Amino acid sequence: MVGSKKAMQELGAGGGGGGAWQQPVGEYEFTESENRVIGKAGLWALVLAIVMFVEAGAELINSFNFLIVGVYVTIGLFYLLGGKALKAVVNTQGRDVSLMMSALKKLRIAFTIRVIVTAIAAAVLLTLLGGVLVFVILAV
Amino acid sequence: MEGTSPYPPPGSSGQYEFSAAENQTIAKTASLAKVWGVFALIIGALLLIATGVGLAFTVDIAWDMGVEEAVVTGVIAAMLPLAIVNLVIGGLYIASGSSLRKVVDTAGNDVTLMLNGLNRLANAFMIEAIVSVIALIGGIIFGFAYTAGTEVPTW
Repeated sequence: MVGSKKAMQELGAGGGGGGAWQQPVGEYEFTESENRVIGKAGLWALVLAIVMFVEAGAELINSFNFLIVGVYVTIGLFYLLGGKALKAVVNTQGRDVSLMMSALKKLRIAFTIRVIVTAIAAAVLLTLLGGVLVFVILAV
Repeated sequence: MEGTSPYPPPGSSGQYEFSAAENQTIAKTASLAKVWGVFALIIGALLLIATGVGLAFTVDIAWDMGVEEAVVTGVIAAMLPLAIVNLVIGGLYIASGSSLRKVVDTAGNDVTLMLNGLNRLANAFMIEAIVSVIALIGGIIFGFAYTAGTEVPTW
């Protein structure tokens, strides 16, 4: 049964107890099969975080570019925190929804940093390319 | 309802409706996942174009850089899997964002849609992690091989 959230909430509010949708009190506890999916997402978020830390280490050895290292470490840190929160959803009871929201917030920060860094890199690259193009046109 | 749980017994597929505040968090994450997905798709497309252009001008690039043609071909060809991976990951992030957005826009299926979104995110994380490790190992091997191959003898 899938419908408009607003319509369902109106049904629940105006139904005088006979509404089709009722919000239970307290926190929802994910089932075992649901926990498996959440655990998988948590595990791979943690693995990705570790990979980002390794990449940061490789970048440090290779080029001493502390800016790139900082970006890798920061993104990795938020993947790590998101992954840990998702694992906590599976391993604990009573706070599943709160922990899920916490995980989503951490992952959102990681996505935000990636978007901003990529946008800045693209802007710098386009500026450089534009500069080269202008230089070539002026030279010709 | 005293003495009874408001939730279905463990193992059943009971549905929970996320609150307005929770929906706000989910909606923001969905938007960012979609934006990052679009970025990954653009990166993938640019890498694909760069690979095509690079392979078409391998001889010229090798001549300009003063390196062997095989080295240039190897570096350019290595961009192809990265392009494909970015395209796949981009698709998964966008699909995940769409599932999460549906959690906010619909009622009655919130948990299923949330899990769909998380499953797609997990797949994106998995592919990205595995490919990053392969790229890292490949880069190290290529770096050593290239350094050994171009080292100028001192005798």
